[in-house]
Amino acid sequence: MKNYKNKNMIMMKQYSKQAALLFFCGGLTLTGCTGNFDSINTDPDNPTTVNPTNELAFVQRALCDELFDDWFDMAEPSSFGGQIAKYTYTDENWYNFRPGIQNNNWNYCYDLQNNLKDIYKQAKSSGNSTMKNVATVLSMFVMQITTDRWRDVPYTEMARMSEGITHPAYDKQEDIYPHMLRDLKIAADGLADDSIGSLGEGDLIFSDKRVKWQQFCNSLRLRIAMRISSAMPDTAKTTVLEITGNPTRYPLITSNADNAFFYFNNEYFEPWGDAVRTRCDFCVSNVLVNTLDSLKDPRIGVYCMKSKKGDKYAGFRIGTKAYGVQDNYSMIGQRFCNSSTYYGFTPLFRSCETYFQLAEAARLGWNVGISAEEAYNNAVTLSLQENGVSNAEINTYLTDAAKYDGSAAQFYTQEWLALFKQGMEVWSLYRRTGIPANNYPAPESDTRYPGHTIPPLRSPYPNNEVNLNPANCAPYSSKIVDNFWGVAMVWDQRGILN
Amino acid sequence: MKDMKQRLFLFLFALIIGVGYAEAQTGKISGVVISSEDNEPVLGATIFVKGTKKATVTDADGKFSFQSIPSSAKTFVVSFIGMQTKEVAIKPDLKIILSSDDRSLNEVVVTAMGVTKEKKALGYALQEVKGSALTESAQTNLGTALSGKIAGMQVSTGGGQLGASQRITIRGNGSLGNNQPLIVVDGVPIANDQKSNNVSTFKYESVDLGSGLNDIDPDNIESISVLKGPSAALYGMEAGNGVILITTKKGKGRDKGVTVQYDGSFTVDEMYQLPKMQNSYGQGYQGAEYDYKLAQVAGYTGSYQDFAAGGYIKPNEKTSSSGYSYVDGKSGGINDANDMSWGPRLDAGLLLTQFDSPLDANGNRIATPWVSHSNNIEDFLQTGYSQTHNISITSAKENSSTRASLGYRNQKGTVPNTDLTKYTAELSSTIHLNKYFDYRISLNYSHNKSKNILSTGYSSNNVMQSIMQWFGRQVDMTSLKDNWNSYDESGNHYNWINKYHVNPYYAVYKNTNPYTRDRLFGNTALTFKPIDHVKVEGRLGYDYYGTEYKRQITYTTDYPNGFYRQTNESYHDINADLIASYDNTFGDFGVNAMAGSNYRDTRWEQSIMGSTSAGLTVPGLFTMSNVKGTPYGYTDHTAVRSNSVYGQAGVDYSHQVFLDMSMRNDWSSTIEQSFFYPSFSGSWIPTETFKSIQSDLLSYWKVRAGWAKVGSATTAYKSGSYYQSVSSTINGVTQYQTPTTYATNGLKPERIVTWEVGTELALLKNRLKIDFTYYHKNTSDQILSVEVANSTGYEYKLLNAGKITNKGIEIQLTGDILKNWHGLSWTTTVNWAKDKSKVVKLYDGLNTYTLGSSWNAYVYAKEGEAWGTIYGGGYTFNEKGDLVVGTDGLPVVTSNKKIGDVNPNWTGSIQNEFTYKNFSIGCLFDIRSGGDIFSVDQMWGGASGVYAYTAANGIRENGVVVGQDVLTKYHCVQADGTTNTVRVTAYNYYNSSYGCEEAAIISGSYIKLREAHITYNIPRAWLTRTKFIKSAYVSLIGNNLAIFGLADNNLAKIDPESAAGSGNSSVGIQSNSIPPTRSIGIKFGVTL
Repeated sequence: MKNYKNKNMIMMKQYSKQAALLFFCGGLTLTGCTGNFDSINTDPDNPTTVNPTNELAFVQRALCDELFDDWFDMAEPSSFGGQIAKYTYTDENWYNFRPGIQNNNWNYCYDLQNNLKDIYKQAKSSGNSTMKNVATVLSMFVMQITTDRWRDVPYTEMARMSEGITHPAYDKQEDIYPHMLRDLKIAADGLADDSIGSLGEGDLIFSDKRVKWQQFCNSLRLRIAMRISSAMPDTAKTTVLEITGNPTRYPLITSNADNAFFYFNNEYFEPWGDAVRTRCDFCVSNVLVNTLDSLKDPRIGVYCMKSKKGDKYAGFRIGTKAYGVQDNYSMIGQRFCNSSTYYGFTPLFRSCETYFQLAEAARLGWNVGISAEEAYNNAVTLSLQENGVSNAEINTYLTDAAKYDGSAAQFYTQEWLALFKQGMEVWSLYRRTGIPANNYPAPESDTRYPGHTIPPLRSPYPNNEVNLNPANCAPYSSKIVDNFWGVAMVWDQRGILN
Repeated sequence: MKDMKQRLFLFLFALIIGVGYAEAQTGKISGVVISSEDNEPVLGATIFVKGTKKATVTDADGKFSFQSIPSSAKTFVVSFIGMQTKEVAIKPDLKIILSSDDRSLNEVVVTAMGVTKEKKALGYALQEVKGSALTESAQTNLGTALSGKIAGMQVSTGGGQLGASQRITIRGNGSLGNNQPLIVVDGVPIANDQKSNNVSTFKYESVDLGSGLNDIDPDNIESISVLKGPSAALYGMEAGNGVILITTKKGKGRDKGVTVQYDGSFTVDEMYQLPKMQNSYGQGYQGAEYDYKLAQVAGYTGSYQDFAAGGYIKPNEKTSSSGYSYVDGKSGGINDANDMSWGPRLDAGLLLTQFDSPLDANGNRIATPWVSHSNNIEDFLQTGYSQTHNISITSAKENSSTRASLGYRNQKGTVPNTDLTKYTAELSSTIHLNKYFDYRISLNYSHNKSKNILSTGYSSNNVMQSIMQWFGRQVDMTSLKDNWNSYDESGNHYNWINKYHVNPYYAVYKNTNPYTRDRLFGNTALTFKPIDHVKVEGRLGYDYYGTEYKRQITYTTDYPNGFYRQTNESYHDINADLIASYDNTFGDFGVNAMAGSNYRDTRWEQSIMGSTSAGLTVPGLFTMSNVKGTPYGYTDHTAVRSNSVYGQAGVDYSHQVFLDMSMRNDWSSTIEQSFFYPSFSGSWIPTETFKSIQSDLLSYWKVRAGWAKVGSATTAYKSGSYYQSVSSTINGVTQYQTPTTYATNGLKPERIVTWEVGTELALLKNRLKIDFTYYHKNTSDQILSVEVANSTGYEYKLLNAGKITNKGIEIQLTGDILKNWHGLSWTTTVNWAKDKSKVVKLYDGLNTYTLGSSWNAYVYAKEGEAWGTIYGGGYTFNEKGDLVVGTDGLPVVTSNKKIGDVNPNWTGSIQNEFTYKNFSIGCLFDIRSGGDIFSVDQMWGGASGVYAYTAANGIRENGVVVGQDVLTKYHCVQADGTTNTVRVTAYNYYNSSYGCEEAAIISGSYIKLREAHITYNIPRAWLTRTKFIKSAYVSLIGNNLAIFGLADNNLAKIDPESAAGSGNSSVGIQSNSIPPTRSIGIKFGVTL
């Protein structure tokens, strides 16, 4: 008995020593063991640094995927501009907008800007001036879409969170346009003078061909300048003459081979094709079909398909509340909206547009090195060629229905027809010129906002901005009437606010 | 020599505690301890000689003996976990009978870190549920079995589909992030992830894969303690939302030898509380009799038959938009692609072409009778069943006890081709190695398998959304069933429509979500008692799960080429604790202290592969090599580590006054700073201090108070700024984008300061027991992803901000209403709780935080309001309080109006248990009062015209005057104040509810008969004849038997409990959840 107890006592002592040691060591390890917490708390799946070429790939894809899809483009700009109609779930066409979509649309624009700012910063610090200037070109491309949609928007203070700007100030469209031209000129000069560095594999639009970026940059300057040709004629004229006066330094997109088109491949569906792939809510509008019809335009078979019932070209009336029976209407042509393959393209800038802009400048009497008529003929020819129309048909068209007559109506109508699938551009062209004249607002019986005589002048500010940047947004949003009217674009020459 | 030493020690001991003894020794005293329940000996009961340090435990025969006892000692204190502690006078050959103490005041309960304490010593509310209460009506999973059993704990299930998850909250919602409690099994935390696989390409759809909690087989649970407030502080930064402590069954000391227990159940299940559908009008648009009348007014002269078939062309329209006639289900006919039921009248003798009409020689459909199929939804559903089996073997020996169990559960769903099978295994063993060492190990394994977990949410992949919300009420389900795997004459999949929807049979058989999950968790502990009163325990816990989830779509209208995704996840969690504790009494004073440290390492990984929306090459073959175009691939990992030290100390005086404090310091890899969490609590039992106040009326009174600071940490990688990869390449080039959340450095964990006061009373000779708690909770420094103006380039910014207070009351009443009155006993338990929250402050420049949203209804945390108020379009009232109607006859909608509050007014439950001889009968009512829900079902089911109220009271025959036919509880006026008389079509009224979210707000009130059972315990006398059966019972059981008390504004009478999911973002939103399942069956058990 006694021995046994002693043995236990000895055991106990040993154990208690060990336990004390263990406990002490345990405590020590714990308190001293936050050293590798940093490495544990580093995300193994996402990088902290990336090659800007991969951001460039994202921007180019997202730009087309997000700003040229059914929500951003087809349901509103392409419809307000008169080309596309929604025939089922028609809400957007009669202005019953979805607030969430307005949020998304705005967010897409500024998310792209944030990425472009990052590319710009990285390119600047690594001395890749090509990449830096290309970031500017794309940034201005997105900014033009942004301001043409909402007019007064954050520009100088956008995407500067890291500098502590949590509530970006708004810039007036009157200031944004000249500023865009200034920034683009810097990029154009930069690309012409000191272009160092490559864009890498991420340049999916022009495969790292600098001259094509120069062309895109200058054509974009031309578009922006001509849009304000009557609102700010001096700025516009200086810009246009600077470009046309030095074609070597400031080349333009003048052939279809140089078009700024983004081609989708087998990873992503082209967004228009994707929109009708699963449930087809869209078809061509009666405005488009009637215009093409009246001109016996050979592009009708490219833009539109014949209706299943009746085998004819029939556009749907934009803004009708009641749904249409699909088989009675013309679906969008396969070239622009192929629902069965991935392959398709988003047009960012077409060579024909360059000539339409030059023709308009020439019409104003500016010496751009080409006559209005010649530029018009080039433009129409390029557009028809782009759509696979034969030379014989082009000749017929240009000598018959589209024979140059010098009228503004003919001229803008042809431009409007040529810019198919560039929803923002057709809507802007319509707002600036009132062409096509047969465009109209949603029928009074169906519209969400009765009493308006023209299609929307703008898009509603998103709730996100109204609620989270109220002090800056309120002065601009307060003047808007019924979300879509009351304030026109600075370049809207019609003088109608309702 | 020995006596000398002992006397010296006792003398010193007496000096220390200031009490003197005159010592003398008596002789040997022995006895036996027996359980009153079964007259079996109790092994391991503690016999403590009152006023001394002497104690012993009973052996396997329940026997104990003392060699000698000081003659001054008069009383033994006999205790055993789960039984009432008893004091008996010391005399030779004692037979001490202990009775069970399920609701005893001297109950011993499990508290934080697995420490057992007497309930009366606690300075905080702690509610316990016995394992038997979880299993007596054979609920299939633990989460739902907890419903209604704890005051202030809300359990809401994501829907009636098999394997649905639960959202559990204790004391309301205080956090803008996670509000769910920590789950701890046998002292070690385990994961309770709410798994749902949302493939981002499926908007609004989710597949709910269940809660981690449900991996525990309820049959293996001994008891559950719920730590609601300050008591959870020992868990530091994980304790913010309370803790559910689960104690699994061990080999019990008192079960001598080997015991075999079998429990089984079999239930039949049916889906119930389906929304009330209308059966008077079929698919189509503007086809009602009132529409016909309007057409006649406009000059139409055709018959109703012609009108219904699309014969009416409105002025200014080229084609008809009224009526219904099927051609191809894709807009080829009149409204044949319209998935609403605003068409022609059913059972009125009309003949219309329909999807199942026969073809004539030219391939055109021959019109067939347009008749109702009022049971078409029920026809689609089937009777499901569940069976469970659990067998356990317990072996108790002198120095060890072991329990092993195997469980099996098989469920066949009420929706065709859905099932769930679960296997569980459990092993736990306790070994008393020697005087110094004890060792225990416990392992739990489960394997879950399903060939198809039903998709839920607003998605055409959710068959119930399709048939209960966007549906032609005339559809004959038999035609769909007979032909689901074939094509129609145009080559389309055979269906009632060919846009948006797939045949429901096709969906469940060909578009499936197979799922498997393996879970292993367990813990092991080595306890070392170097000297009396001191214990050192090393504890290691491990938790693992591995899941494989597949999304397999052969064909839908959204995925014509099919779709395939396979997601594999794994989780490993290692938890190590080293705990030293001390427990002693010095005269009237008791002291206990504990110090410990914890190391935790958690790793999770996920990999997803499959197709893009391009789909598959060979239809229905779900392999990577069959993927069209570029395959989809994605991997994700997280790692979190934390280190902690903690301690606790308590002192009591004479079992009357108890004081306790604890502290913990946490270091987490997710957050830079370390954090300190203290807590204090105390309780006093006046009825012990002043015995004179004890009376027949007042038997026991305790008051208590506690204060604590607890926390809530964040998830991995919140502090860094990372580029995000895009899942797919573009033209072969990898895409990276800047983050959309702007990261902030120096995040702190959420801080919760909480206090509570409470009292416990036993009245009327312990017949009525009351437990009352008032608590206050202040949650601040919340880790928020706040929305920022997108023009900053970001969508969210991460920061610490926000302050939310919660205060509330919890009451538990237990009444032994009848105690053996002519053999009948009746016990009632009532739980009642009310929580009130207030968002005090969010963040400068931000007064609204969006918790969740659906369509245009938003659930906000808004400054000055409760957590979770619903905003959206609502009715407009003039200054007189009249509802304003526009000239179009429809209510004028005010946007961004407060239209609801998700918080219930109160929640409660009533549980009754009757016993008479060998019978026991029990039932549980679960009650919720108020708490608004935005019901997407009501919004769309109304808009699509499938619900009964859209065709009630003649509105499709005569039209609707707002204020007269609908919204009758309001006085509805035009802008000029005159009573509204404008008549609109029923379609125009109900379809306008999209945009007026207030019309889809329903009150969450309900009374549910959650559980009921009638149990018959086979008389022992019969069993003794068998010689080997110790006990046996058989029960009739029922779960979710009925719902009552639904609110008037719950127009379709849907189950308000089922939410859209189990996260914060789903609270207050109901969207296409599967109706609940009612189960009725038998349960039986036998003990060998």
